[in-house]
Amino acid sequence: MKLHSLLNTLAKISIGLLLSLAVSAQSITIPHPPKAKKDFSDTEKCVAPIDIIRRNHASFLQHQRNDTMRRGIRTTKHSLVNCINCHVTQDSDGNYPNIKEGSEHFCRSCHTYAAVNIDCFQCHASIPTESDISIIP
Amino acid sequence: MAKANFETPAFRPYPVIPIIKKDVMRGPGPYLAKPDMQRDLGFPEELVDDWHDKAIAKMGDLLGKYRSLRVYLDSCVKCGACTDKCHYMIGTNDPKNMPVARQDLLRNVYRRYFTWPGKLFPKLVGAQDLTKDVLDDWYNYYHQCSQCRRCSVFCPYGIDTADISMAAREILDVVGKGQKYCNEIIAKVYKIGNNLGLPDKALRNTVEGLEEDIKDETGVDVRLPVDVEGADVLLVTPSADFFAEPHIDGLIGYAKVFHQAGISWTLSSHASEAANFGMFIGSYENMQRVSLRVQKAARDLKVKRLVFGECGHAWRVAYSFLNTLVGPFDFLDQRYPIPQHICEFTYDLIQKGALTLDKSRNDHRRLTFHDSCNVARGSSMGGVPGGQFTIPRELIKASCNYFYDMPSDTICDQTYCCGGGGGLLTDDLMELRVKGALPRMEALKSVVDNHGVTHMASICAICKTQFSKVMPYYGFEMDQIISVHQLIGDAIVLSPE
Amino acid sequence: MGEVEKDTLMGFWTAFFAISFYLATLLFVGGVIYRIYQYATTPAPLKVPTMPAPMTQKGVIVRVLSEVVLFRSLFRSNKWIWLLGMMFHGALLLVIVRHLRYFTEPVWSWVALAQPFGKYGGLVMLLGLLGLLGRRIVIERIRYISNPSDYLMLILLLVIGTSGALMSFVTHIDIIHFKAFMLSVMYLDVFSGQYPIPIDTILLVHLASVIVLMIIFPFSKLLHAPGVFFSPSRNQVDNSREKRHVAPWALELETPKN
Repeated sequence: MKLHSLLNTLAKISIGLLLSLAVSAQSITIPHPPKAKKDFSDTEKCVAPIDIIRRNHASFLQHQRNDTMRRGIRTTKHSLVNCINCHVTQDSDGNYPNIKEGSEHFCRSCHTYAAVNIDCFQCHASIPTESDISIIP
Repeated sequence: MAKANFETPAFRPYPVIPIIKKDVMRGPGPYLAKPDMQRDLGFPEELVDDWHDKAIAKMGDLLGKYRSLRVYLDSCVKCGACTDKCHYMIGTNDPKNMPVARQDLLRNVYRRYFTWPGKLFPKLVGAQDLTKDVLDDWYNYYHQCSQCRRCSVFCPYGIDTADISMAAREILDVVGKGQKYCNEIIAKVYKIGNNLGLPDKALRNTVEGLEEDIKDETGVDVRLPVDVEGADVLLVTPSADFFAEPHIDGLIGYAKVFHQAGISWTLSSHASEAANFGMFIGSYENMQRVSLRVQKAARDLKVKRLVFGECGHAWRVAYSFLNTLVGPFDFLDQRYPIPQHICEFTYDLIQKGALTLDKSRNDHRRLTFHDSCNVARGSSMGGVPGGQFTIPRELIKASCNYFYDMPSDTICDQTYCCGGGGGLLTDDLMELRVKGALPRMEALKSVVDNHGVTHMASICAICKTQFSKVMPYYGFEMDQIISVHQLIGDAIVLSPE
Repeated sequence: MGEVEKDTLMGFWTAFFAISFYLATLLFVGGVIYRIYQYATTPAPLKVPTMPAPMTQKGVIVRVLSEVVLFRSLFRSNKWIWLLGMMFHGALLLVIVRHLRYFTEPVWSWVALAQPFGKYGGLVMLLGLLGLLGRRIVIERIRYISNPSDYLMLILLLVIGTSGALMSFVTHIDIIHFKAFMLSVMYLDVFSGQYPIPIDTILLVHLASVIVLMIIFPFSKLLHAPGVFFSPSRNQVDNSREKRHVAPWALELETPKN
């Protein structure tokens, strides 16, 4: 293969690629989930560092579920209800966002972006419960 | 039978994956072409001093001329699907007879000289410098390929080792390392008109003798005309048909068919050979030059139709390449296929009811059919895909009561080569030929054992010669191979006019 | 690790992967297009379809598709290679579809639909690859025809697949910020510093191996992907008697030289 002809082709293609991308250039979207109602504590914003929450929230919730359902140990640290209570906020009209459509809902905003299904809300409530008491003896 | 200094492979009781035995078929290869033969074909008389550079240059030239070569050398993923498909691999167990390994002999050099990874990291990609050893390996192992294309059927990319071995042989010719058998024959075709070097006069004597034989046998005057201007049909047939057994009985069969159909025909002394060894050596120019004789003969004799006799690779060249090489054939009658195979010709006549066939005359025979590789995988018949399989079988069934096919993975497009095709039908390659025949002999054995088959019919001069030579090594008789048109000829009921 | 240090590190990897992606894409796309151009413009002077072959262009399309989609010849040849090859290639396709979610916003609906299955596709792909590698090591004939690059390529794919599966099933990464990074690479906004690549070793290994794969693609046996469409034994129509087929260079042989 001749080097100069290959480079020539490459140059042409790269110009073409750049042009087509420049034309279609758009601002990069990234989810902006609504802010939580309050920080978890003085030192931590959430129940664990944000980086960890972002990566592992699904595992935490699943562990919590397994511990609660299968082993009967119910704690509050990784409770879905508490997540919802803190993170799902009302809009200016006082309405809670719908989990099934749009990207307003705290969970939806990222899950739609990454095309990941959320199974939680087939059973669980996707909006805060009336009472803050989530542990019923 | 000449005493063999090698062992005939034993029949395998059940299909087994071949165990490799490195270098068992390593050697100098077949005899080298003599200087005068090389000269006749326009090749250097002996290995040139700058063979290395010339070989690489020729490879570059071919890469630019043949898409097949370029795509095939790039595309192989070494999946191994072909490794147990070659009859020479099965018969010899030399790993370099695995199609992929045979291709690699050329591919490794291609990678070294024509691709970046091969230039930068030769060890990593198996790239190899073209050394004298490699050149010798090329000569040896590319003359252990009968270009039968069985591997290409099974390759997921259709990589055809035949194309690669043709390219390799052309490179070898160009650096002055041609094979004696092929190049001598091509030179004979140029000088005398046929592979066997049968001169015009001998040809006429032979066919006259045949006419007498037919007269003696049937009492009917069946003619075998030579150089008759204005005949309807020019028949081009392999020169082996003129005197070799069992070929000659096939020729008698054609003559009887023409006779009963009442179609005027002629042979040509100028094109007294259907074979085209130009294909075997991968030389477009030589293939074209050999083909030109046929076109010239058809023009000179002012015929309307062109029919080819029973010859495998000749039919591949005729069917697939003739129009390309020396077409267009606008001077022939366009209502008939150009060219037409003698089997297509006879089949049409049978369909029209123009032939009277008495099947019971072949009742002493129980038949099977050997699909010749170049017919099966390099051509077609009858204008339908697969016609090359059905038409010869229909001819056999029309002339015989007992017909049994060999196992399905050894026939039609999966057929095994006879072991002598592709320019290997020479005594200096006898060991290879015997070993390469193993899978076909096994398949034959199974119908002999299961159905009492007595004869194997074929439509290829090379197959017929090869089988009559190697069958005795496997415990068969040399006359168990016969021409399809011998069966037709024997069944045909001629009435005295 | 202090915040400043972490930012510097992120900046470095972001730039590194952005530049590598651009170069790899250039080589991959340019190289493959060049090869396709080369295949397309090299003449096929003779009709050499492996017979029996289709007699119409339409038939040829069906034949080539049956090779590309179903691996028809390979199926006739060897059921094991077919199965392993099918597992690998089929699953790879599913996995690639699944990865489109990182390049599209909003994610195309059919991609979102296929996404959850792609996860398991990755496992099937790994099984296929392990089978192919095992074959190459265990079977003597295949070992004989294998070069170091043949093993390395399988290992590279295994690294890609394993690191991917680990991120799916074991140690999760921040896919939201990764997607933002990927989009910024695509839309040439990566050097703004707003969309740093998440620094997870496993992700970086995954990406680096994909980049290596893209770079070697046009120079290696991976060319079988475009090659299969250009194989004369599969893509030619069986009509040589009806239609004269002559290559330009062969035509020159016919014109008498004066």
